[in-house]
Amino acid sequence: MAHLHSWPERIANREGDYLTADDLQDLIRYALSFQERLDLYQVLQQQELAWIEQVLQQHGYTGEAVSSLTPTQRLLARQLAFCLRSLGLSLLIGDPLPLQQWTFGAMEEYLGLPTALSQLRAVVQGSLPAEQWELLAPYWQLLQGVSATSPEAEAEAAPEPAPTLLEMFV
Amino acid sequence: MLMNSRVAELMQQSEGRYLRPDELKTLHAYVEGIPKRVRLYQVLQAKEQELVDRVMEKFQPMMPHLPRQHGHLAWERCRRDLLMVWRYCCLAMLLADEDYLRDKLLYWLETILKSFKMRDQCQPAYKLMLDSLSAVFGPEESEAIRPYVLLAKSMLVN
Repeated sequence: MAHLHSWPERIANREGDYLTADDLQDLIRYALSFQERLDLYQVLQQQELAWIEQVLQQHGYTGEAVSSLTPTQRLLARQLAFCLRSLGLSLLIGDPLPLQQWTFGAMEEYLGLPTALSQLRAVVQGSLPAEQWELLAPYWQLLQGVSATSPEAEAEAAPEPAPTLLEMFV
Repeated sequence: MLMNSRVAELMQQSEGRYLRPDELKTLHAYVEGIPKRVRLYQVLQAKEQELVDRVMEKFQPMMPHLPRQHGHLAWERCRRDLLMVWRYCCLAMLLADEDYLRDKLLYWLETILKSFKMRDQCQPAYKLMLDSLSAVFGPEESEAIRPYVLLAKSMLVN
């Protein structure tokens, strides 16, 4: 995965000095990829509703009127849209900050979000040409990293239980 | 992407929604200027020593009493401060952001110079820096950096 750096952080690190040659190279690369990013940003915007509907269908939504959504489905749809928009903005500006800062709150509000995000990822990946997905993938990975506070991830990351007295001394 | 304060504000305002066409246009215009600003930034960086040497060469004979008043490190400190101001000006140019220069350096340095009553003594150095731009750099580089050096001069020593 391409490593995503936050620009405000890079600038703060080089304050009173010059940006490094690598930083400048990254900047030029970013500027040259802007049109591609903008095109993909607009795809996200246009497809958002259709993609979220597909995820909602996996959560019991039958595709009827939006007013028939349950409060839980409605919340999920809102959170997915929020994540997708933060993802799009991070992609567009080439900076992980919007994703890191804004999506933490969303993760707190809806516990099923990490699972729904995986479902959305499958839908989005299936809809985009490979080269567009390649551009988006690092940001998606970051988004899922933010959502790693899911119960499954927490269980995976949980420290081993402390040894008992018997284990410590035998 | 490097963000100047205007783009950063736009990002904050757009939390939870897609950018509007006019906002995308602002962003696009900012990003389009990046390769040119990077190229200028590299030239400004490469000729930093030449510029500061030139300023110091002319400044020292103008202020021969400075080491007597401020100790034997006076010239070294003067060069250090000029370099610092120059580098912040360059980064501000790269960001296309005068606010960055004001917020990160000038408000602070202005207070220091005022409290040590150094504004009058430093004034010729910043004037020399401004006057030397066209001698050291080409017209494009000079014009790009001039507004930032002017801002520094006007806040620090005018």
